[in-house]
Amino acid sequence: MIQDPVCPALEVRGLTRRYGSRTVVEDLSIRVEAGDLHGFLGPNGAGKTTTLRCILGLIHVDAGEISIFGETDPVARRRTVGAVVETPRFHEWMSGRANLEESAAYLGREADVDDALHRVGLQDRAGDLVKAYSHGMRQRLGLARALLGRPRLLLLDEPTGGLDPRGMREVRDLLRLLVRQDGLTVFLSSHLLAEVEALCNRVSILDRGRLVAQEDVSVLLERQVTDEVVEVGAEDCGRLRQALADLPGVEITGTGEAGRTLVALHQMTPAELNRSLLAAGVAVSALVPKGPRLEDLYLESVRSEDRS
Amino acid sequence: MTGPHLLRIYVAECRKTLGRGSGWTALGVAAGVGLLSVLVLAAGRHLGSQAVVNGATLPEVIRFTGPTALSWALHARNFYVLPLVLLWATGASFAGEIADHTLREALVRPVPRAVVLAAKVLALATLSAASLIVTATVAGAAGAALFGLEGTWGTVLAGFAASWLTDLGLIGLGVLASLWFRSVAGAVVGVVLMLMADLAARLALKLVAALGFETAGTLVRWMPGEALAAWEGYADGWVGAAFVGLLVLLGGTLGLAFLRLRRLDLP
Repeated sequence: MIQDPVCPALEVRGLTRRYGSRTVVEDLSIRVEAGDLHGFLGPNGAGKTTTLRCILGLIHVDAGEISIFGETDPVARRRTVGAVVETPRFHEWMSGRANLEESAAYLGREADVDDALHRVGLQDRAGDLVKAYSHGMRQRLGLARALLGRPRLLLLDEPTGGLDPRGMREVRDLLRLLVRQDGLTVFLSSHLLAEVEALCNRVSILDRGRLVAQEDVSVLLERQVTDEVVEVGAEDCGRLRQALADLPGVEITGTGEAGRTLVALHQMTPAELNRSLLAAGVAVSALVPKGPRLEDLYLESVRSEDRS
Repeated sequence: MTGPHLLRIYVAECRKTLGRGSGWTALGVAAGVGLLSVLVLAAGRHLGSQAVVNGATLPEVIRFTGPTALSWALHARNFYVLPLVLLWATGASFAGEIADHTLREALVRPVPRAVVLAAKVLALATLSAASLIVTATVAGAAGAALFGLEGTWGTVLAGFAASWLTDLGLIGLGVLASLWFRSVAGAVVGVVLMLMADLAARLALKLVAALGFETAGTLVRWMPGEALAAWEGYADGWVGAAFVGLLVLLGGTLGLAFLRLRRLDLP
């Protein structure tokens, strides 16, 4: 699919939404380029779902502008969008296929229901009533509905929620395939940091309705590499911590896995740390290098927001 | 939006409206009411002169003809049960879909909210028409078989046509109540309470009119309850004001419903 190189797939400018006196989303600006798999991270109540609802025109905005492939009209901009908002809902007394056919009727263009069902692996259960579907099957049916009519932009709200590990992997593989083969753009709201890290090339982090970071995932991760982080384990934890505290260029940052101490090395390599600890009489039992994780960046972003 | 697109939405809404419990209940009740009315009339003929009402035998007060059977079916159909089922169907189509979040799934499609409203109302109008056709067909066929073809069928059929219009007025009220209360039960109870209040107000106004204040009597003619009884004109003579009132009721309720739906946040 040929994408307009100038026009972003999704652009949100200065979005503000209030519920009464409470501001849920404040002056939010996001730009999602065509072909991106863009993660949208934030703790519960950060305003992620509210933002998605505003983008889809389900709720009204108090201020700001939203455009999808350059289209700002709320009805017109939904022409190129497929969406899963929160838990997908269906008419329980209708079959999965009938639900998709109903949704296809509203779409206004040709939509291959069988193809959508096949893509999510539900073709054999399409005739069953939705009330007989498991949570995972409903999630997949919701994704099939979002894929009807081959949209250019997918807005997904926790698309792997409730899926078993195999189902999660299948959905992630499908999303990668859609981006690679069909040139689809995906805007993925999730609280699963590992999912965003594994899937997305770019991420926006939201906290209490405000954007606290928006960057390529690779750039964010590289930014942290200036300090090396290791987990150190020893038989005598008290002595280890004392020795670490006495060493220059070493900072204890927390507790890692299995009770090990998390350490940031500012002017020292892990090998030098090991030698220094042995020289201080600490019997090191484990020294595990820790790569930068999106989780750390995410928590750091949210903590920075707290401090400010 | 194109014509075929609008048609597909309408067909999809019809499939949903007729496929729901309230939809097939409406059709089942319509058939049952039609048959039962004819059977009751047949039982009356069977009793014949044995039954005396206010000093007169049944054949003296009732004409046992096909059109009478059809007329009885129409009155039975419009006597609470089917209007309540129609209100239930209206509530399920709007309040039910808001409550179970399925309306949201339609509104994420490239369709203006006004089109969604119109498609749903037309589907409910289709359900109403289908229920009237079912009652008329069952009662008409059974009535003709038991009592013959003699009589003026056209007059009663005009009553059926007028009932479709009054059903539309009821659907308009149901839609508005659904968008306010956002629950099926709330919509049904809301409209019933409103109609009870309307009945009480009409009785009070009629009382006032009887005391000599003629304006009160004029007001009564323009109240929703009178508009919803416009169908009764096939027997007693059509009342133009009732139909104008019906038009105002339908336009007013659907206009307000549109404004409400346009501003409604759908989580």
